[in-house]
Amino acid sequence: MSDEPKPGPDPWPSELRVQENGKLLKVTFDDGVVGSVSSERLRDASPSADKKRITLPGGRTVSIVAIEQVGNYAVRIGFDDGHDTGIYTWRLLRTLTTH
Amino acid sequence: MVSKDDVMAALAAIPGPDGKTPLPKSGAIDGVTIRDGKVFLAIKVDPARAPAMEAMRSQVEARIKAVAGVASALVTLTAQAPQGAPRPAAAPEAPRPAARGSRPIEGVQKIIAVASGKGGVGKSTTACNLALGLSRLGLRVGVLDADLFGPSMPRLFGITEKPALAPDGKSLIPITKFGIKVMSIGFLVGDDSAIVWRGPMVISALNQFLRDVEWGELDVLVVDMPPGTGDVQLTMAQNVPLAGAVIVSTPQDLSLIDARRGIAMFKQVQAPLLGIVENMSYFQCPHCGGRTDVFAHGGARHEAEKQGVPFLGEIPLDIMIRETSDGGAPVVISAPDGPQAKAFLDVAERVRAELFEAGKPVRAAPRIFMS
Repeated sequence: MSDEPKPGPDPWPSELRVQENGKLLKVTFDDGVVGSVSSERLRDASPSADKKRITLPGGRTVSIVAIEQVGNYAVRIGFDDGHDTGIYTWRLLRTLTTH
Repeated sequence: MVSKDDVMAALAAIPGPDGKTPLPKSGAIDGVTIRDGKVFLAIKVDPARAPAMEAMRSQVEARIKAVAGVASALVTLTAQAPQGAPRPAAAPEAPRPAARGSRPIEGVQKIIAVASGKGGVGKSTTACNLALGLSRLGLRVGVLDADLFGPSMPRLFGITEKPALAPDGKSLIPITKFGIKVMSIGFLVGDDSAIVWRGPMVISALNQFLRDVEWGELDVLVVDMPPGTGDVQLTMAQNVPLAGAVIVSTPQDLSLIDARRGIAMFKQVQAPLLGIVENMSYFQCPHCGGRTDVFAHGGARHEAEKQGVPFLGEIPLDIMIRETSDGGAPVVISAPDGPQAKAFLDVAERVRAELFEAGKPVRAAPRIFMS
């Protein structure tokens, strides 16, 4: 995979790294762009129709507990409030991590 | 704070499921979650051996509890189908079992979808002859008839027998015809019985056809998709790592509008488009030799150029293709040296080139790290 920058409309991640005990997702794209997004923002931006939000005891924030690839285009992210139906496309991850 | 490394270090003395390799090195640890001193850990085991692994599980749990700073520990055994072990279902912080992902199908190298935006454009005939063409190029090929509503492969291949059950009693053995492994819902239900499917049934039937059929070693599995851009296509894209999609269209505008939808859908799910085939491209009169562009001509080529996807070839509107298709002796087999077979072979050559020799690098799946 070359480091040559590719135009923006077709983002493709080369690495997804969950950090800070599931509170932060760091994404490296193959055009060299690196960005990160908090688990809270990721959870709120879930594109799933089943977005029910469970408030955790003590008002703590959600953590990412699972990431699983979906096809060639997205990942499914599981949170510790039980929500795991959100499918995050590469494009959505790009938007969330860089804006 | 307890760290994952602390937990792993504490487990170094415990042998993994094979009884030798230290657990942290055995690859059996399926995820560690630590929250406020509570440790959740999953160990992957062979479901058949789950009861025997219970001792290891409790040993691991006790060992983790002994680590300084650990308030509680919950260790579960997981398997392909989770069973046996107590699950931390009630604990909202417990790691959730991973949902079914886009696992590759064992032994099958490349899966390609043959799709069309609408019905009646010759998608199944193209899929069948494309598969035979790929087989003639020396590839090991299978055909999965995913057009569950209108399965055509039994007729196209002239198959009337039913698939046998594999010795394991769980999977089906595909029928081999013309050197190709074929599986279709049409083998299991008669020609004249209606198949009425609800959406979720289609999805589970498709998954079974992909995974519970003994495909063996294949270079290419050609999937004949139902026409349109619906549930099944999306499921294919989500559950199956598609190597690419071939879109079949006639040259007429009405058909191309739908082909465009098909292209847009595959682009959206990042399934590579291998290209567009123009079927019923022109009519060569068998009597006078004159050529008639019944549905206009070249429309698919223009569309391919416009969309920036490869154009894979033109298949003429030809009575021989129609007759051989209905007769269960596809033209690539029954008239292998004729111009009709050549049209399909040209398409097969280009598909093979796109699949195995493509100059553009395949973008690798991202690496995922949970830490």
